Amino acid sequence: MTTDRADAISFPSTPWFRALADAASADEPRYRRLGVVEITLGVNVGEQGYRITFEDFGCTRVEDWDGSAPVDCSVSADPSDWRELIEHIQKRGSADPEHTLNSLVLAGDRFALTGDEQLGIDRFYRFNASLQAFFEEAHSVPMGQA
Amino acid sequence: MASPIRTSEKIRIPTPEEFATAVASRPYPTQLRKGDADLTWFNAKPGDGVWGSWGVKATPSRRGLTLMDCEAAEGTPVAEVGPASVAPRGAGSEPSLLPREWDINDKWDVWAENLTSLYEEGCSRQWCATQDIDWHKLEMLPPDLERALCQYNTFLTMGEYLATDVLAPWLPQFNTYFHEIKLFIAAQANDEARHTEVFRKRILANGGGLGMTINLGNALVGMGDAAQSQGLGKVKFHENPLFSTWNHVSYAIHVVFEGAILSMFRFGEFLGKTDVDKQIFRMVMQDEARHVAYGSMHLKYLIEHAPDREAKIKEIHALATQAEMFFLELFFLHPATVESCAVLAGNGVDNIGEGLEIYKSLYRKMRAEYLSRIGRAGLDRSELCMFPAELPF
Ligand SMILES: [Fe+2]
Ligand SMILES: [Fe+2]
Repeated sequence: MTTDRADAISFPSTPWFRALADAASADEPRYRRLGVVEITLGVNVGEQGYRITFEDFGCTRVEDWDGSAPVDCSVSADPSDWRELIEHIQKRGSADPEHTLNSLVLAGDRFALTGDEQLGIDRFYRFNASLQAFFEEAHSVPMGQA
Repeated sequence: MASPIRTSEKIRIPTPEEFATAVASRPYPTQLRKGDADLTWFNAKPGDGVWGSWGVKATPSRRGLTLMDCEAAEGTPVAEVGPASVAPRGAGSEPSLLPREWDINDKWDVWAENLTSLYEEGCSRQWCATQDIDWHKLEMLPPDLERALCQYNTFLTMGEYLATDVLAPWLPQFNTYFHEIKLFIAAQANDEARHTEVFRKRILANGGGLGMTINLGNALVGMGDAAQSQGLGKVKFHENPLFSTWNHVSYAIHVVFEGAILSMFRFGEFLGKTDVDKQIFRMVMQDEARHVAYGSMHLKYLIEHAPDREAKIKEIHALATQAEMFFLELFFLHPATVESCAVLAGNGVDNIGEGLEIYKSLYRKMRAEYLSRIGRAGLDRSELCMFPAELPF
């Protein structure tokens, strides 16, 4: 949930996604158990884009993204829908059945999974448990106002 | 008239003592007793035909020591044709080694650019149906939803058997030179076994039970001329035209069948009402996407490298037509599949109508992804695809 806590990081922002990456690397054994992950994921929060690179066992890079650098696929939704997803994760500690990444993009009404190539999109399925775990790190990353 | 020879009269099996005496009198033990070791393997020079190579030192990457690291250290490109030998790639052979003819010897017949890394990915992303699913968190479902999920999982269990039963018999046909395909398919068989296991466990873990078996497996062996002449019960999978060559198997199973099953697993994750069901489908989805990734990339390699490219494309189109027709009717239009999904999607049997609409939208996505996958590999079936744009209900 959006908060005025001192440790809140404005959402959406590169630092907020980097904080997810930091939380994930603090729990490296969990990601190692899930296995190697190799995907460059675009994340669009309304007009704001982020490019998140996963290599070996975790996230190795988070950067601003204007859509020009290549990604395997991207997940896009309005800021309010991303906030709703994150708030659910923060309330529950993990995504509830209606708010897993795959469920949201399969429903396709608010979240879209797109990519230039099906093989790139298929990576979203191949590494889905790692990606889901990564976004669920949001339970420990408070959102501040953008 | 001579009486028939009994098996026991054909070859006399020695007693253990007789066998020990015979073995002891053979040249090699005799030579060793004189202190004269053979050491052919020890004295051979690298590359002389007896010994393979020496001084190779693969360096582990951040993931550990992968086959890609080993290949980089070996530095030898994979040849287009495997030799008639049981030798592992890069090994020498004892001078008396007999040739071994394999059924599948050409790189174009099995290869995919991502084959080695997909195998490594599969090893790294292994999971255990016993320990890696939070079974203790499973929650009761309303009876109609539990029944629908048990039916859906019963159908999926059958599909897993089908994949293993069709794929595993191909293992002894691949030349050992192409160890990547042997390893990948062996690992896939293990993935499918785990899928069978996890669906069975889920069915039996929440107050439900195994549901109705559908005719999918029988129907698959029942395709083609052999089924007409020999009767259904006697036909083997390889007599089905869908499975008569490795390229056909890979297209029918990895691309069409598993492409559809991947959509079904994604749908299962979407439909899952509990964290545990979500978790199960997320894990099987990952494995299935890997199998599909091999199929798609193999198709691409095949189309780009088969000796007669045009003929191969024609052949795959003909096969695809059959596979699409078959899987549409026995799978996407089977009442047990359609309705179990629709009950789950509609959140109950009373709301099956809404569930059917959701099922139809999944089907449209499956079809679009299938066409996009094969299109990227070089097979354009946008005008030929036998999967109709809309399901007819
Ligand atoms: Fe499977
Ligand atoms: Fe599979």
